Amino acid sequence: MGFYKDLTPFDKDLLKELCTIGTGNAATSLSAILKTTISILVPSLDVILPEEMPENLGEPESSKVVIFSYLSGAFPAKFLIIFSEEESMKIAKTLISSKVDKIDFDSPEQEIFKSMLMEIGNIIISSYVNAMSMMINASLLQSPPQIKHDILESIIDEFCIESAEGSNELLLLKNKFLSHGNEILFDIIFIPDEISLKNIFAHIKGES
Amino acid sequence: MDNDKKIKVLIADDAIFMRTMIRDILEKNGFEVVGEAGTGKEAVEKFQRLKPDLITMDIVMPEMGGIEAVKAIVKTDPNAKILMCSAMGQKALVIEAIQAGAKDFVVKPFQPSAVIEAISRILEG
Repeated sequence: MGFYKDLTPFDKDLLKELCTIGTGNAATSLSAILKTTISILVPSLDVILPEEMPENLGEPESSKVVIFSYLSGAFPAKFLIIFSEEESMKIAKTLISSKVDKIDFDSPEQEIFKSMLMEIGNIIISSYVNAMSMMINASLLQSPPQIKHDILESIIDEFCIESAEGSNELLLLKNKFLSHGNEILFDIIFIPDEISLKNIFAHIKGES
Repeated sequence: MDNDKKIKVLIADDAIFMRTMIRDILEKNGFEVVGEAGTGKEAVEKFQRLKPDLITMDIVMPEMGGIEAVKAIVKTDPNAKILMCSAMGQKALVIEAIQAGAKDFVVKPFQPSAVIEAISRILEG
């Protein structure tokens, strides 16, 4: 199987443009939430093997916070937003003036912190979904966001290896958001199903 | 605002963070928050029990989504005043929510003034 590797330069460019619009919308939303200027680096879009994920995202044993949501309907896909522990704690300080020294989502005291991160994830994911919906002129259904605190290796095992069934490749969209004076860094991973890509290309190329 | 005449609002959103934020906006502007709901199902149940003057409704929620909840509420009270507050700003969803019976739509993230202005429009309408 090699669907992603078969993408033409035009297909990749189209996907990249879709992601760039989503990233731009997400930056605008994030800027409004955090009340700070957010700039973005041009997103990179790579076709990689699951085992190449760690080297693209950090040390396999590093602890991360992942917020994820599923899209269903004509555009099945997974969205993952991955924060380092430090970044998520920094956002807590910025947004809710809450000092979090150690992440423990099971603690009732961190309920607002956890909910805040989920809502940030939800708003960012919706920015992408809204942009995609506009481009393919279809309503996209999004699941409520969920959150996990785990090591990167487990996150990849759970979300990415499973997605590689039927294909031995993954489509990784990497974004970096930067806010000068209050830098926020995180990755967004977009894992569309093969059918989603086919639907997008068919619609945009006027084949649907 | 006179305490007896406070507008009663129910907030439906699965994120406690967002409910807290909306509650804060409303209370600072003289509204009374009579309840919170974390799912669409809970929103329908609390709307019937608490009889608020207005409800803010998220779209993506567990158990029952916001648009489905709007339909259920409007079925029992066709004059229900519902403000959608969602990050899902897709045109088709906005139209679907309005057709279901919502009176206005605010896309997250929002400024406090956007929520208050939308509520004022609904109450005046």
